[in-house]
Amino acid sequence: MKYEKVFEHRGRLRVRVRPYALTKGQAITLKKILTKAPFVESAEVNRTSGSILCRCHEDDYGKVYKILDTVKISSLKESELTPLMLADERFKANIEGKLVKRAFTKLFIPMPVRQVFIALRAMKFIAKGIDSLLSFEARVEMLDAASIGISLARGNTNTASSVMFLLSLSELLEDYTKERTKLALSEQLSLNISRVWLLTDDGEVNVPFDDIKQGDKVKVYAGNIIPFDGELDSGEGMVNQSTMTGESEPVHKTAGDTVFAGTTLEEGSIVINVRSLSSDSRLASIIELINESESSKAGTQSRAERIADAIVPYSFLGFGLIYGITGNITKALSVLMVDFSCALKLSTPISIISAMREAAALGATVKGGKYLEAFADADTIVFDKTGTLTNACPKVTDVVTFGDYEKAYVLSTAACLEEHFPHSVAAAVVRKAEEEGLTHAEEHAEVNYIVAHGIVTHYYGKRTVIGSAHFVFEDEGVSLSDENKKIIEEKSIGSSAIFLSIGGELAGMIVIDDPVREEAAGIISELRHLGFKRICMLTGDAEPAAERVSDALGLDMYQSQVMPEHKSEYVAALKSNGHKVVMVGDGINDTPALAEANVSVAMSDGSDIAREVADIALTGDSLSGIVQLRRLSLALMGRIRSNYSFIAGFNSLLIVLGTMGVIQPSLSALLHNGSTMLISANSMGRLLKKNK
Amino acid sequence: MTNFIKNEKTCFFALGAAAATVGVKFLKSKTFHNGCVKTVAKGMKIRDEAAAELTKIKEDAQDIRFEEKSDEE
Repeated sequence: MKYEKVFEHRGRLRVRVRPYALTKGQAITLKKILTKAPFVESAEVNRTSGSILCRCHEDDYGKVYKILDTVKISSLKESELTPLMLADERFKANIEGKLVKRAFTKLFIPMPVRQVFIALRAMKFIAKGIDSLLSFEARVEMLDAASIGISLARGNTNTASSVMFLLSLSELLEDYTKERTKLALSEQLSLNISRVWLLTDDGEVNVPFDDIKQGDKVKVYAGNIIPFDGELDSGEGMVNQSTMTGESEPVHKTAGDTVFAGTTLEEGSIVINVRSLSSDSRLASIIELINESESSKAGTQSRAERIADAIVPYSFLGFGLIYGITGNITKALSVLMVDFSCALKLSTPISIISAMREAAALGATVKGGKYLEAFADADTIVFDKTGTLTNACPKVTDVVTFGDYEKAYVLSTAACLEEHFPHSVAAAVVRKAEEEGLTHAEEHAEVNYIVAHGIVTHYYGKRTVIGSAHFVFEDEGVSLSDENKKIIEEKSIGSSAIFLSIGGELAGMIVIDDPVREEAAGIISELRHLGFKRICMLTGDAEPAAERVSDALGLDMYQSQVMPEHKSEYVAALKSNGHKVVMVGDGINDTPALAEANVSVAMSDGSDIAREVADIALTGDSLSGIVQLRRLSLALMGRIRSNYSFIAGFNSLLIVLGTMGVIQPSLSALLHNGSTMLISANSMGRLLKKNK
Repeated sequence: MTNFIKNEKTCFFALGAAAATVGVKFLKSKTFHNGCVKTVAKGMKIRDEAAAELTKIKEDAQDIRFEEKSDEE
């Protein structure tokens, strides 16, 4: 490829080919090729100017040029345009068309003919106004119809025509803004790649999502999202299809049934025959989610719409009064030209949707505008300790054996069971086994996860359980001698532990140290600074471990040895005391509490079902996402408030100037619609500064 | 009758009708069509070139701004 080097400075490199030398599809392909290279941080290809912008280390310039040298434009494949790009293009073409059409009619169509056209166009607006009048609803359409109709009746076709033109432009802008923000959001949400269990002849292998081919068999365990569309090959389970059908009761599925990507397996384990790799149904469910979130409008948003329509009768009243007093219809008309409502109606949803998009870019999937509002309102935050406040990767610090069992055997057996379940403690056990170089064959039967307690299976014919002390010793009735009790107390001091029993006998204890996240203390004090009055922690750990963490972080309250059902009771109690509660959790066992809270947040490495239930799912692996969310939601509320004051102030001023006769109705219509567009465009911008 | 023919308005009407007929013929003619196509095509070309130039200006400005910013640090 022939190109010209244009810019090279501190890791920013720009070259240009001839403008329009690439097709739109090729530009995307080239961008993909460049971004795939490990040394390229980011790349942009602009077809219009033919420019290719790369971010990389200064030492890697040569490698980038080498790629560009080898690429041939003629052999670049056409990538498909994303829906977002198509929407952008459609909008551009629409605006251009409207402007060209208006210029053409103004220049070439004689006035009498134009008047007929204008009157015809006005009919549409007037019909809408009459429609709202007949349904006895004072809506904004009535204002539009009245202002257009009166201007027309007074022979002021130019005013009527500009008002209609501006209205159609703002309508176009409104549709485009909504569509674009929605698409941008869905694009960000669909990039949610995870690893899956592939069933091979040698057993189950954990492979990246992208490695799966059509016809592969993939195993899915309870608590996980089904990654592909397909048929159920073997096994059975309860599948929650609420993302597809809205039905919240899980559906029983057995061999031969169809399962959809994006639905969640609540119980059991299944093997699916992958039918389609394209994430159509998953994408559809994301779009559904966004549409739903739009209908689960933030209180502020529906309030804005109510206010908007409530103002309409007053506008007419103002019109009547001013006409009555001054007898001057031009002055009276300026009241109708300025309606507060459309700016209110437009700017609030745009602010909210673009805040959701910004949240997605910051690493948080927010499932509805109202959750951002509730997040800004909340005064209490409850953390589930493991996986949220403590490090996302707890470590196995000790493996204690009992009876004749060997350390390696205990660890590899534990890893073999734990690897099927998405929990940070499980991951720690698996990691430890890998570090020690222990491999294991999948010799166990069906693995059952008993929520918040542990795992049960049959291993070489013996009932094997792994889980908390409560589960192993009380529920399973594994006997514990005084001598062993002493050992356990000694070895597990200040840490948490899980127990393995084989054939009803205690085989081993795995001591897990769960160090508090480095950033946690800073985050807690920052959250306090941002208006959280009560910061609490819930944990299943024993009292000493819980107290240690709570003291280290300076929390207001904590509760140790909590069972899942008690977690949600705790949240409910806080709520009934009048607190607005944010719950942060990560595991399957947190889901009831997440559902109970005013707003719930699921951590990035949490189980899929927690992420499904939570109102907000974090994608970045850091607690700082919560601080960012708080900042974002507060900034959003601030923006909505300042939009309100600006709209009220500016439009009142227009009315005053209009009634005083300083400005003409057509100018006030222009200023009004212009300010509406301006404020909408402003509402699309970022709420938080990048460096924060 | 003669009055009618001599009437100014009738004359203008006839002229107008003739002009309209010729006008429509002209509008339908190949020359006009080709002329329009060429003009519009030229317009499009100018638009594309202008867009490319404007984008280049914007990009160069961004590059300069980047240079200044990174040197300040």
